[in-house]
Amino acid sequence: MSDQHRNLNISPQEHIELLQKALAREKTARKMLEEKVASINRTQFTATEELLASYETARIRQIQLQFLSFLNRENIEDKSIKELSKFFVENVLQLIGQDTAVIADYKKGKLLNAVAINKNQNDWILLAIKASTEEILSKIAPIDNSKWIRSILSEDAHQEFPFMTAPLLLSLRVNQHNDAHKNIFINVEHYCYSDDFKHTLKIAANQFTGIVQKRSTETMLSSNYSKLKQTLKLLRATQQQLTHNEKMVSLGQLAAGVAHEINNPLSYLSSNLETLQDYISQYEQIINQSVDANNSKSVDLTELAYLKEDSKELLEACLNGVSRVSDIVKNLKQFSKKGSDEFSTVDLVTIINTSLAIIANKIKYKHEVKVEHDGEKLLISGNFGQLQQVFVNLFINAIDAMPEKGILTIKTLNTPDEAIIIVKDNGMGMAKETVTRIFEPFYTTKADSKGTGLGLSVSYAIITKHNASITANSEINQGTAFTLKFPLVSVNSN
Amino acid sequence: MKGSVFNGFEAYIEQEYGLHIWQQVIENTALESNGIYLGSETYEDQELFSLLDELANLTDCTANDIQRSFGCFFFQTLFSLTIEHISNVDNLFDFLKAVDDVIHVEVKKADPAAYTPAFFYDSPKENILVMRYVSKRGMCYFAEGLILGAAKHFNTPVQISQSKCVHCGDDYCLINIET
Repeated sequence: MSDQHRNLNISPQEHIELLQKALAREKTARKMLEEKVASINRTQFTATEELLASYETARIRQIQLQFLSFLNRENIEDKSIKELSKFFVENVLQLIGQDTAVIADYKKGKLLNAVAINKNQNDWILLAIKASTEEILSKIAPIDNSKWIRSILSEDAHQEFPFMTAPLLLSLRVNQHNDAHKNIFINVEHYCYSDDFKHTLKIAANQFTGIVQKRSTETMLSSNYSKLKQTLKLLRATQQQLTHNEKMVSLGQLAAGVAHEINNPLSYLSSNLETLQDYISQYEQIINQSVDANNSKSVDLTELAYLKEDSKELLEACLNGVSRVSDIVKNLKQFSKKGSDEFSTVDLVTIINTSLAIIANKIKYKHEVKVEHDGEKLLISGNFGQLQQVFVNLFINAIDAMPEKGILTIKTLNTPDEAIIIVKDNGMGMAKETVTRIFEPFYTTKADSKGTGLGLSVSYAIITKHNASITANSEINQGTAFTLKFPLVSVNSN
Repeated sequence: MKGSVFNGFEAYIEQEYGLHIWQQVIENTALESNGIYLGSETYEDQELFSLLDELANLTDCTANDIQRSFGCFFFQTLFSLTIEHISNVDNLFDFLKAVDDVIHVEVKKADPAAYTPAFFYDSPKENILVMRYVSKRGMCYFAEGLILGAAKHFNTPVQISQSKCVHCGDDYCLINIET
């Protein structure tokens, strides 16, 4: 049966109805088929969804990391906190596609200044601070440190800052040291971002806060360092003064002996000069007699020869005396000189010998000095005056420890690495407790009038400054030995 | 654009204007696909805009109004897809916040590389939801229609406005929904 024949049996209306039914079936079949395809696709997608999601997450993370690492890299450069803040805000503005922001600086809750940037300005401008500015800014100020707050820009805030035309504010508080903080306000059209994006902003805020606080700490430390440097300078000056004062005290202790030492040559100088004065009178007399001799009697040649010989001796003795006084004065002058701190190559043997010369009078009557030098010279890098002060101090202490009599032994040893000096007395010695404290400032076992308690502590400071060491060994009634070890000056470095 | 959207548009026209209008639109536009769309396939975006323009031409409605109306109609199709993805959602804002993920899966399942629009959300007040719509297609009025359809479904009267719109030269659309 043909279609035409069949169609002849139904009306057009019936035919339309049949076609509509057929179309509906077709549509249903298509829908079922599409649902099946969709189901297959969904299954396939589910299988790869995790992978795709990971890829998407990784991609977003990469963008975030790029932004954060850029911020970080730029931030570690040598920028001031003000520059850092502007840089940070400019980058956030760029990231979120906005152009208006205000940065307000506070100290102890008081607004110091505020700067703003907006689309009409190429650079940051300083805002004129009015009472209303402070009031509005305090109304919209974020409270928590390092946390973005999104709020609706109030009408009065919009009037105060007419350049803020967007409806929202994104604000951030960044705490610094010494009760300082800054508030950042970014005027935004919206805060419709993905959680990841908001998280990136949060990390950026944390990172920025951390950097500002670090920089703030650095600034504070730098200021403290500067103060400490000043204090150290003052301390050094005081220490130098103290060292000099201690030297003067040593001189005071030596004064009586030195006076006696100078007095001796002075007395025989005086006596010799008197004799010479007398001789000159006698010379005059003889000269007059020789004039008269032409008339009456001859000159006494024997007396003339005696005067001539004795005058020579007297003059020589005078010159010796003057030279001795000169030496004493020279040594004292050098010792008392307020020298510089500069180091040069010095000879420890010379320093010890000149120090002994300074205390010569104090030691020559009751004490014996034994010096054993290992070689003619012991070269070290040091300060002549300061080291002389150390040895004079050690020698005076040794003598004070042997009030009646005793032997002061000074021994030098030249080892390959260091110069060792031993200063030893056979005096009263010290108890162990005393030995452990002798280098402490103001600790003394001497009578009030005799010691300041600073001699050995000053010596210790000087020795330390020379990269040297000083140790003490003592036995009651046996004596005390100080051992000093100095690094030698190498041939090359000299 | 997914074929299912075209199929939805066909169903919308048939329901609102009749089969003959759909046939007329197809005839008049003479598109490459010739009006044959498979739901799982992807077709040129321009085909949909041509269909929209032609319908506007035939009906004296604006293309934007048609988009909005079609969006409202298409919500039921979208909602049927969301059921398996979203459970325990009983209010408009929560549904709207979840819809981005649903669209993402539905578009990507057949073609993982397919372009998807993106929605970002903010709720500056309890009764306000701001949706940032980012799409190269600029179908913000269709999105408005979908939101209206959802509002109807959840029986929540809403006021919708756009403070930013790509059709006004902005980079994105900001759709403000106030209940």
